[in-house]
This record gives sequence, C-alpha cells and structure tokens, in this order.
Amino acid sequence: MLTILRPSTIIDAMDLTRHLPDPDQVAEALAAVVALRQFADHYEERAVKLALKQGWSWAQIAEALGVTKQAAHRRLSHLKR
Amino acid sequence: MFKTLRIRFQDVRTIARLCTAAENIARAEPGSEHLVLASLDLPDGTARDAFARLGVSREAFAEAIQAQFADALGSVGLQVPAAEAAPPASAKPHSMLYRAAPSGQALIERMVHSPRRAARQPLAGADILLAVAEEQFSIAARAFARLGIRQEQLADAAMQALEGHAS
Repeated sequence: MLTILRPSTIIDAMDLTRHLPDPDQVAEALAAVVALRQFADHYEERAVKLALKQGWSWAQIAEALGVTKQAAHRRLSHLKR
Repeated sequence: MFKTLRIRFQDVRTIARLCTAAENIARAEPGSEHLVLASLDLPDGTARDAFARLGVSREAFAEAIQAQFADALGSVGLQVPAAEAAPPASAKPHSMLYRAAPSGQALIERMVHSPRRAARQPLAGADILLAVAEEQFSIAARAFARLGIRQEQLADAAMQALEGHAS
C-alpha cells in the first residue's frame, strides 16, 4: 500500500538552524547532506506516485515541484500512474 | 601476450557482471555500497570469503547501510526509522550507457588500476573490497565502520581471500 510519511510525524524534531555543522564533525555533516538528498529523492518519488494515482497531470506536478513539465517528466516518468 | 588478452577479456566480463548486479540492487545509479553487495554475487567467491573472515553477513552489511542513513538524518534532528531512511528506489528505465553514481565510478576506476592488475591477476570480487578499504567517508565505509570493521581489517580480509583464491 502506498503511504506518505506525514511531515508532522517525521520533522517534529527538525530545526536545521539548531543543527548547523559543528566544525569538529564535518564528516557527520557531509554524511547528513547525502542522507538528506537520498531521503528527499525518495520522498519526492512517493509524493509524485500518490499525485499520479489521484489523477494529477504532469503539468500540475511540475508546477508544484517548481520545475518545468519537461524536467519533471524526464526525471520521474518511470513512476507508474 | 595470450595470457594478458585472456585476463583482460575475463576482467571485462567480471566488470560487466558486477555493474549489472549493482544496478539491479541500486535500481538507479549504483554507488560503492551497491558494488560491495554485488561483489558478493560474483562466482569467484572471494568477496564472500572476505565477508566470512570478517564475520559479517550480506544482510548485516545491507542493514548497516540503512542504519548509517538513519544515523546521519538523526544527526540533523530528523528521526526516521532505518527502513524509511533510504528505501529502495523505483526502478528507472535502463539507459543504453552504464551510469554509476560518482562513488561507484571512482571505485571501479581504482579497482581497474590496482597494483594487482599490473601483476596480471584477473579481477575478483575481493578486489572491490580492497578498493573500498581505501575509502574513509563513503556510504560503504560508514556502513563497515558501523559494523566495527576498520579499513585495515577489510583490506587484510580481502587480501587473504584473494591469496587463497590464487593458490
């Protein structure tokens, strides 16, 4: 079953301004950047799948993501409607 | 001359097999951590041998990859269960050209230019582990570190597996 994580349940504790990289922990900060990118990619995929399932058009999805329709389609068209 | 050609042909087949397996695991552009998992499927068995010497299973390494993502997200205050931190991506259409994530590309390049190549040894799964042992900050390196395996330990286990295979 397709479910989207509710932002309120996962980002409760998130306040990036309180988590700016500590100069002594640069490796951890860079690892967090990689993990955030991966997480954002997966979150985007799940949100777009849900949008397609609900009948959103690629034009609407692109607008919501702030990219062109061509860019959205090129990157995410492998997701099944 | 003939031996060199035969080894090169064998190496091309090994790299192709490795890349295909890594791509199937990553379901996108594979990084060095996916190449480590793929190396365990190679028929020479040296990567599996090295893992056995380290007392690590494929499942434990895969879990360590997920766990290091969860740790990294946790370090910026984002609490996500390990399974949700980096779930498998949706399968993307295969491109005509093989494309690996930068960490995967760098790893293959290092492996191909390893000193063992100069010694005209055919590539084997543990060569991937030997190349990964040079990494300090990659996802694969962090996963091994999470399992308590140091770079030298990984390199030693890989070398022993390769020597055992050659003899």
